[in-house]
Amino acid sequence: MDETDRYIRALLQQQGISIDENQSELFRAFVNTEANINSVKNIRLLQQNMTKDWKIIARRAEINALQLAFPNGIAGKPYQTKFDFKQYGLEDITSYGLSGFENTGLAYDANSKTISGTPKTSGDIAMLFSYNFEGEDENSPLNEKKVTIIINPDPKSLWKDIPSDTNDIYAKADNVAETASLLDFTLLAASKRGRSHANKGSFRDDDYAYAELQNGWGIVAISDGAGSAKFSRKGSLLACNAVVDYFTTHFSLENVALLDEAITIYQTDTSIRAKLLDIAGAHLSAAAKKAYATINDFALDANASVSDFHATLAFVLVKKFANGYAFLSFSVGDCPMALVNKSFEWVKPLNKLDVGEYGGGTRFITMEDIFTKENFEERFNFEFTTDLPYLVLMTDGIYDPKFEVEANLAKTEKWKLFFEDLEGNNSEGINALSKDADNQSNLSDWMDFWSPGNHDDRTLIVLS
Amino acid sequence: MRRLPVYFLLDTSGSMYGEPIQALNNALSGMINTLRSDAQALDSLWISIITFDREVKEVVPLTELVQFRLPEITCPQSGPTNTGAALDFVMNKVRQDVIKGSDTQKGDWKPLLFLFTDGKPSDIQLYHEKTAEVRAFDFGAVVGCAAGHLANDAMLKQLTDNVVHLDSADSQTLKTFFKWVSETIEQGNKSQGTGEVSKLPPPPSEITVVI
Repeated sequence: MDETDRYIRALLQQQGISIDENQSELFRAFVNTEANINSVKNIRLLQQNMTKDWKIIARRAEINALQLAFPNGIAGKPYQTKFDFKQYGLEDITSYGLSGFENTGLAYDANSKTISGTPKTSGDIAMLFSYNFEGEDENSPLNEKKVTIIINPDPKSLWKDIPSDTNDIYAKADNVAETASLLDFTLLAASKRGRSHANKGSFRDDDYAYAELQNGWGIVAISDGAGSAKFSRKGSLLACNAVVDYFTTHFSLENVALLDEAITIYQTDTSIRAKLLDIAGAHLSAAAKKAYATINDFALDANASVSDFHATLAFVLVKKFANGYAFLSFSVGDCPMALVNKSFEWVKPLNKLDVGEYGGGTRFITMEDIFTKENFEERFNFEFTTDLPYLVLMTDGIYDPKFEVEANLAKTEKWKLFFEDLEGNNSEGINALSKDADNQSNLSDWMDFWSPGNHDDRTLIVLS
Repeated sequence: MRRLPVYFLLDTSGSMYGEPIQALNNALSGMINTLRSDAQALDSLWISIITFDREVKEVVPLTELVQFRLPEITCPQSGPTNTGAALDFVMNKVRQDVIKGSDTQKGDWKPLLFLFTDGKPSDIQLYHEKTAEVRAFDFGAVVGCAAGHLANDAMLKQLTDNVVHLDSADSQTLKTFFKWVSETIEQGNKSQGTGEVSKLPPPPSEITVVI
């Protein structure tokens, strides 16, 4: 049976007409007329064309709906991406062009199918993808599709440095830095407003304080005001000053005699540790409660809520004894404190951080319930070292970018890297531990280090 | 680095067809552009867009803002509003995506959830169950937005205390709303006391806060 026969037979069958056996001669003659042979040929051709036309239209719509998602770029940063036809399912493209790169800083190289260059500005780069695909006539006009590449601004370029209001009732300097001697030590401290605050002209929430006390004791305190509390900058200041004031007044010869005696005994008999912590704990908790009470009273006077002054608090008392150095500490919140051996043979984190499952969640000295929680005594610590180690206190603005997780605070290699970084092994080559011409430390400059996503206030105190 | 994960649940049921969905697209695009020019957001924000009508669709899985591309949001001409199924979907995603902090791993900021709807849930039974689940989860903030007179404020109140009502889903109102959303997002990466509820910035006058 030839094609014409098959076609007409199928056509009739579709209408429910069958050819009886006795009609077969008649049907054969019908099929073989020139008119019918030509008709079938024409019909087949029309059908083929129609099919082809539909395929082209459908494919064109498909390509039009296709998301050509080129990766986003950053203004001023080198950009390169391959226009991979396979990846986008465009393997049937026969000829094409990609235009619209004028004045964008980008260009397209057809040989390597690569878009590359350095975008000049942020915004959307609108390009035109003109193309033909398999099945289309060679001469048919090119189809057109709009394609965009999103260029983000460079985050570094977006940060503004707006000074905070110096006339505010709780105004605070945006940056402070100092070197001082404290007992036998050199104290190096800097506290710098984070970019997130500078960007909005808001205040530095961090604070610190230190003092030499009676009887050879010294104290260093650090505090980080909560970003979510409106007067936390004042809270952190009150917290630090309150504990310093407390010990300045209360560490009299009489009050401290028992503690000093216990520490002297500890040097030859460490079994006294629990007893010693009891004695020390009384001082530490009284000072912490003083900090709470001070802020609470202040809030009442200011007709505000104590939670408006939310701030963490960590402090260390230090004294040189005949055989070494004693350190007593207290902490609520997430400011790490550690003793670091100067040859990096050991490190002793002084506190466990209060951190929640999610970023930013912590505890504050302004939360009265911390004093009644069963873990309150875990906030106290005592360490005794024969050599003078580094004593380091920092807020999370330093800890997050430099140590990232709490486990790293116990690793000597991390501290070694941290001190190498401080001493100049950083992209700016700043030695934070050295002094400039005015005998000021470079710590404040070092604190400008760049770390994506870490733009909180930065405070660091190093005793050496 | 700490990420701030933000989930958008968008109602694309039949009633959104036409002008409202167009307005929603415009407003979303405006919001993304605002966020793109925010240094802090560019550094930490991750966004996911989930739509719901008869089906729940993850239009954009959780993607960092730097690589985010907003696709055109479309909706069918008719069909139910399966808000319960959408909440079920997003809770599974949140549990999968969001990184909790530990001794050796930096935790994300608390995730934020924004639900936008112009109707009331069709799958009420599931909705009741899932609202309880959302409330029990430690979100940084959950904001329910009811647009137009058909939206049911009381239903949204089950989900969260932060419910706002837009009188209509027109372009200008939606733009204002999403401007406020971006302000809320920008506030999402601040330290706060564990167990404390974060305060949202005051919404603009076009938005009615449902009490």
